[in-house]
Amino acid sequence: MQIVKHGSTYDFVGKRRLMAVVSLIAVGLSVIIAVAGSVVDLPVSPKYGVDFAGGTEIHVRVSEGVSIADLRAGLGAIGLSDDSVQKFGGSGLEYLVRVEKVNFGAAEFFAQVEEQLKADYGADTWTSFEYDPEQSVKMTAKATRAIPAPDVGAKLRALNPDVEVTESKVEHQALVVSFPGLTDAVKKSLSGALGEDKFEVLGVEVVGPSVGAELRRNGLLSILFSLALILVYVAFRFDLSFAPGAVAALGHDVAITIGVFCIIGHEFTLPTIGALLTIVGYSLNDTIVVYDRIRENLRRYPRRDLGEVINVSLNETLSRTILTSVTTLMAVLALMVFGGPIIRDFSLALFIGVLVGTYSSIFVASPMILFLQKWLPVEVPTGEEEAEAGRRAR
Amino acid sequence: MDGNWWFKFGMTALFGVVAAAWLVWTLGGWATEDEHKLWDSRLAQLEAAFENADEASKAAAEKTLTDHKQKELDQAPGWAGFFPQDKISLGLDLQGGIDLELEVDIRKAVEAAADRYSGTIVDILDEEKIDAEGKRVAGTADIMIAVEKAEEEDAARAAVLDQLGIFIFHGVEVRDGKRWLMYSFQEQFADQLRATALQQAVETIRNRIDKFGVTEPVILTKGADRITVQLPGLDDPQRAIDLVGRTAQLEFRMLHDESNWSDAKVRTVVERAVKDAGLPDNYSDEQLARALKGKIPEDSEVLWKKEFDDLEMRQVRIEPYLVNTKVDLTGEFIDYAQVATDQFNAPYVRMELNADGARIFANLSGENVGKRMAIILDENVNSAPVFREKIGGGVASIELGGTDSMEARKDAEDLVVVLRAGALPAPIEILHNRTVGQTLGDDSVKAGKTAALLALVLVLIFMVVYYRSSGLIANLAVVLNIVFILAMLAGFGATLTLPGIAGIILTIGMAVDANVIIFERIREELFAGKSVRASIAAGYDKATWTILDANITTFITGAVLYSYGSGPIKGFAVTLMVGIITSVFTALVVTRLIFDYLTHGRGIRNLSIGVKA
Repeated sequence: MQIVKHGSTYDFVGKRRLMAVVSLIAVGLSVIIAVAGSVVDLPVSPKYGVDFAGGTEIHVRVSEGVSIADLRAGLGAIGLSDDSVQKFGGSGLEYLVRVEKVNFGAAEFFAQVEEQLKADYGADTWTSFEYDPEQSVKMTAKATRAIPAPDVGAKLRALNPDVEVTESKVEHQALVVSFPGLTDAVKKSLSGALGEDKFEVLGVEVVGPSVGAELRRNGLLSILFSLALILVYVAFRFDLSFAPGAVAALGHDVAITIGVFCIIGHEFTLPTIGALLTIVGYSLNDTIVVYDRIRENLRRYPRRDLGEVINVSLNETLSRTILTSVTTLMAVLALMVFGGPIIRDFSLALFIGVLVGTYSSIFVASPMILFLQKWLPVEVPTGEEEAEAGRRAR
Repeated sequence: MDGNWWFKFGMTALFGVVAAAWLVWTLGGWATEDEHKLWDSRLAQLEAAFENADEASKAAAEKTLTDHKQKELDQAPGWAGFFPQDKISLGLDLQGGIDLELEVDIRKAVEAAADRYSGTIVDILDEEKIDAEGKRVAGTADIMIAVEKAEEEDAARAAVLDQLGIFIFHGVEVRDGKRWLMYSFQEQFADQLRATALQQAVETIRNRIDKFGVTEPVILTKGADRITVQLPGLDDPQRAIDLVGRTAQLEFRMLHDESNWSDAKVRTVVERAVKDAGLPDNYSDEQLARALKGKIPEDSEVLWKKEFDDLEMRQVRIEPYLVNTKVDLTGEFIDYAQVATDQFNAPYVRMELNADGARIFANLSGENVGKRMAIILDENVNSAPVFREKIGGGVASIELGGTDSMEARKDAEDLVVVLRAGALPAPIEILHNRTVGQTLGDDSVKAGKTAALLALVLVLIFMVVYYRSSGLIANLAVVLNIVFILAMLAGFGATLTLPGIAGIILTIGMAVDANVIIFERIREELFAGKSVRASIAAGYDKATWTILDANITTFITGAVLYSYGSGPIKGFAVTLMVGIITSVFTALVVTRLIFDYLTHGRGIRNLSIGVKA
């Protein structure tokens, strides 16, 4: 069986201008959406998962017969909006409850507590109230005299029945007021609205806001860093004139995958960045195989036109390019369909990336050498020994 | 190549067999598990037979049988030890658990040190009869010192330089009508302060978690100020966070009635109680406390000195101490602790107490000269030094035993970490908390298995359809590849995560790539009219560098992914990199040997590779 007939002569290089326009439009659009979308409000813009945006995400599975409306009604009671509940996976029973602020409602609550304590014990009694609503569900209230924690607890439970008051173990004459975090609040309100046996919390992820920004930066840096390393390796192993093409192809693949993700409204998470880096690796693999053949053919036909050599090389490696894409896509497809909802976006990114990567190794990486010919001419290896060695190997 | 191919073939086959046996052992541990099951069923039978017997004889019989079982398991054949005992450990996303990333506010630790040192400088100047005031510059870790008489400024600077070589002098600034000498810590010293703060936080957290009874927790520092804590099997994040974030509890208690309870006696009593109660090897502190009830005085309890065992990766009990339940002093009374050296250059720990602490400590030491006091952090005994004399003035020296100087210094540093843990809690902030329930983990494992199996079947079928018999050889390589990946993961003690499974699945798809490159080459050579054996040889020779180049670059991105990624993504990078190595090996060495073996000296004219040349 042959996908590509032996000795095929498709004219890839001849279509390079048309394909360059197609690629430029696709990349340009993707970059515009990704960059402009994060600055101004566009209908399509990059969305970040909880690990990048920061906040709390609770993964819930409900019993058969519980609808998203029931869930929303239950969570509305503690002030969560409708769009904080999203469907997750294909079973129809799993949902993500997502709140951007780490500890929702804590700031308002502690402001109330402060008022109440000042009113009950006199403003002079308290020397300070310390809390950081972004990071903590605890407030430390320092007083000028010892105040029994149970008394305060009894008073504050009028504000919120779940509040707890203890004496500080670290500081003198200080009380610690703690407020249930989002997870507990969600569990409680769902038990009330649906019944305790109607739902199960499968997982919780809480990410502080500073971490999200840091992870985003690291993600971007890691992609740039691996591109730089690859540039160096290709320049070293092949020819300096080959390297920009390889990197352009990789940037092309990553940009378009990001663009597609923005358009279909999927979230960027840590695994998505992992997928992008894998795409870099995969697409590079493809490109290197073609480059390798170009290098070999340059030696074999030192007198032929560069465009012709590139085209012959692309044709000779075409069946391999397609075959490997097919087997890889089979594996990725299996992962996407049966790998479970958690890994789905990851495999979707891979799927898009493998498709685009296959295209780019044919229409971007190799023609790029031709485009750059004016500034970075290819040094044709004409060494007599090498030609001799090539003949002997055959 | 022909000359030594038998040798190569033999080595590869041997390697394959060893790897497969290793895998069977590591993945299943079936042999021992069956034995366990057998014995468990015998125990069940016995239990049924003894249903009407009294508790004591039943327990005795069970114990005999359990001992017997242990003995038999211990006497497993000698060659069993040849196989590694490691299994592939599942990541938290597959087995359920809590993954926390914590940040220690090391900046605060340096600021606190600046607060203390501003006092120390004033004390030093006081000894030189120079009146001065000192404080930390708000919002920084710098120190400012104002000398009362301007003419003493130079003397003051000389004294600070002479006695504390840890500062950089930044000149004089005039603020609030005073001349201030501005100092900051030398960077090296500040680094040391930060490192100590981090180490102290790790120590505290490890202590807590060991007491919590989590199996195989992972506690690692990450960068200059981060700690990663992984708690498999837990699913209540709030409880874990409370545990990790709490301030360490430092206590000083007297040893109980030393004249009647010698160290040897305490040890004997504990050992007997453990044996009598039939406690398992890894008994908890609570179990021991129950077992000791009535065997030690009411107002005392046994606490242990524990040490972290690098081999077992957990805290092990070293020495039991019988201490009073009454707590004489807590960490709140300590201002500061540091390592100092005496005139013989022997290190000791210098501990400064606050006013209340000094009073309590003076009384305590006065009443207990010649007796030992246990220093206890989170209910673990760190050490039990002797009171030589009454200690007044709020400064206590703790001498370390007669070990060599290097070891004594390390012990002193460890003790300082413990004393400071109670004295100055470096605030810990939770940056990231990911909790995965057991159900979700199980679902992921199931889904991962299904996807892997399906991907494998699809690729295997495709290869046979496309390349016929040669496809079968490639398929053998793919399967062997998976075996190698799993075996290597187990051997390195790597963790398998959900993205890790994805990595294996992706490898299934990409592993055939090397073979595809080779096969396409062989086809080309066949089309060019070469013989089967020549085509195979040329195909492999020409494909080798292509395959290496392509895989080295992919490996580079894998390495970047590994160094950047966190938790699960790291797992993906590991399987990807391992997969690249094994797939290059199976494609270039294993399949080649099979081809050579099949075509060796047989004058084969047709090669089943999906085309007719």
